[in-house]
Amino acid sequence: MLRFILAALVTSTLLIAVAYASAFVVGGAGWGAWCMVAGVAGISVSTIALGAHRHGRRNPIVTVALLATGVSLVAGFSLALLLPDAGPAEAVVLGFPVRASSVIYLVGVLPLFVLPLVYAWTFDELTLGDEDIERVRRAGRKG
Amino acid sequence: MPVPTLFLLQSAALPAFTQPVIAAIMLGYFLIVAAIGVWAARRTRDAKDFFIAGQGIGVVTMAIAAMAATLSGFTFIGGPGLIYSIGLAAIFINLPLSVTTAMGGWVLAKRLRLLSEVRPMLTIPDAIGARYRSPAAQGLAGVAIVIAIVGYMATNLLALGFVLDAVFGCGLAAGIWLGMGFTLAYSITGGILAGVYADLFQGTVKAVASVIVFALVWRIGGGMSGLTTTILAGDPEFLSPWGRLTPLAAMSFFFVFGIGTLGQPHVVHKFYMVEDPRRLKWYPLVMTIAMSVTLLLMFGIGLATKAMVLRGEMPALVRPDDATPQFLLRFAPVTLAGVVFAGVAAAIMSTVNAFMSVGSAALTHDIPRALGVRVARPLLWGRIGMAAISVLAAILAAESRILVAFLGIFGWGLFASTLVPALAIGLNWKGATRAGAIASIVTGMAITLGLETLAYRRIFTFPSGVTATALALVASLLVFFGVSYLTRSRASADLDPDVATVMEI
Repeated sequence: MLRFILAALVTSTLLIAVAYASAFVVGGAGWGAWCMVAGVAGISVSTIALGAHRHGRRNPIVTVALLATGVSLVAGFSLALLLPDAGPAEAVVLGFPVRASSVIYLVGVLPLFVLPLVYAWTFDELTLGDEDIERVRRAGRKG
Repeated sequence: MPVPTLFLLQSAALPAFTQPVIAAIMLGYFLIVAAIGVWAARRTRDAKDFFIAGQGIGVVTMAIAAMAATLSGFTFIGGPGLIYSIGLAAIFINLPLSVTTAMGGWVLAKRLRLLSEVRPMLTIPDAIGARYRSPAAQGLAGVAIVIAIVGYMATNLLALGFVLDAVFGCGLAAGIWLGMGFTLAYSITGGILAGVYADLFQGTVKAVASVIVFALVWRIGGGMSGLTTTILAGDPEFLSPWGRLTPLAAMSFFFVFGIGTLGQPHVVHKFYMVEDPRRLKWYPLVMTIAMSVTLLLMFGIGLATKAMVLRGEMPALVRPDDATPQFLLRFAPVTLAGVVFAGVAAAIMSTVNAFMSVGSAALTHDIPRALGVRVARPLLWGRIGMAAISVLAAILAAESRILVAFLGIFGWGLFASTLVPALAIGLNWKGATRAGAIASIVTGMAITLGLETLAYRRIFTFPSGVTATALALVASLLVFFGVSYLTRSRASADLDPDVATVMEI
């Protein structure tokens, strides 16, 4: 699992690098933006996954939350790229033009409280328990 | 449109706000912070108290202090101005909040706090030095921090000078020195303990001011629909998801201000300060609430100013940074304006205080350690270092706006590109090596400083969407992975058993 996470992290970073390179290439704006969508979503989720990963412990709630976050980020940015720019005639959804709404709500709002709640919910089991703290303190005393 | 330089905060005089009520509110605020400083001074006895608040604060206090350190005056002045200038694209700076608090929790909070259980930890470079068994890596990180902080602090002091001049009419130079002097006074006596509890008060002031202003914006604008209807009719590009930027430029903000948060030492070093590591459970949630509430002002005033200008209820802004002052002048009761300006000063001072502490630690703890110098009387030298950095930053702010403008652009980017790989990735990946860490820190410094200098002197111009900060962060990450892979046979030798245990938890 760790190797997969690291591979995702490195791949996402490379995609972001390619996206920046596209700015120096004539006609690169289109595909560069898509590289950036994939890179930004990938690096965000894989960085969190790297921190949340614990050898031998899996938590489906965290996995689902991270996958959903990745999907949400990709969906939000993608809709903003794909939907046509209708100017003043653009439909307003939840207070904003639909393209802006897709970014604000799918990228900004949806993961905003979900991830911190998942973090708190799974903290004792997955992140840090009493036995973990004792183990670390023993390691410190030995050192 | 070129991406504006974000870190200038306020770069020109604000409209005068010299009204007795506003001045009285500001003075009241300063008195409360001074009282906190006196209280903290009595409880500051050693370097641990001075640099990490004796490791005795609660997670709510820590999270609000982290919020206060993160959100400088940019939130209240530069941010609304940026929205007015480039439209909704400006919120890409804040959008990463959706992932960064949980990211900070999972990636850094536990690791840093547990490291302090096995080793004496005072600074972020301490963590880097311990992770890779490398005084060199610690020293390089310390150098990067000092360089970034001097310029970053100078821009903040300049902004504080403008605010104090606008409220008290004292003149810019006096405002800079008074602002620096006051912040230094409570920081040097009470250390980060004073800073944290002042941040708690300042963060609360900011949050309250933000909510009240947003409610005012909602009422005046006719709700979000009222604002967007006006703007959509008059300037639809403003409400484009990318505003006046390209998609690449906007998403680049998300990348830099998302991943880059993991490398801001004045924020992440607060993880050391939590008394009970189990309470970190609540850090992301508290931080998310605190940040979301406080950012409402930036969002609200940015949109409202645009809408009011389009409706003819405000003249078009000569300078985007006048958005908040002009909005308050026209629409807010004077008491609310006073609270907001106190909030602006609070925002700047909380960030400056954090810089003072982190900068002095880098100068008097990390760099000497890298050179093999043992500092006797660390508390005394910490205070001397703090004064030295603060005076230098104030001189820069008062004497050379050109130099401030140049140095100020390094801040966030230099922190991110030098610290994110070695610290955030390295504390979660046993395959990271000392060589990888050192190479990434050097790469981050060289590219940030080099490219920003070239861009500043207009020797090189980036295409839209590309910034030196972003390139440096990407490059340092790739160098970190690449060099660590090439030197992977050294990975286990670079890792002490107690640090390995922390990384396994």
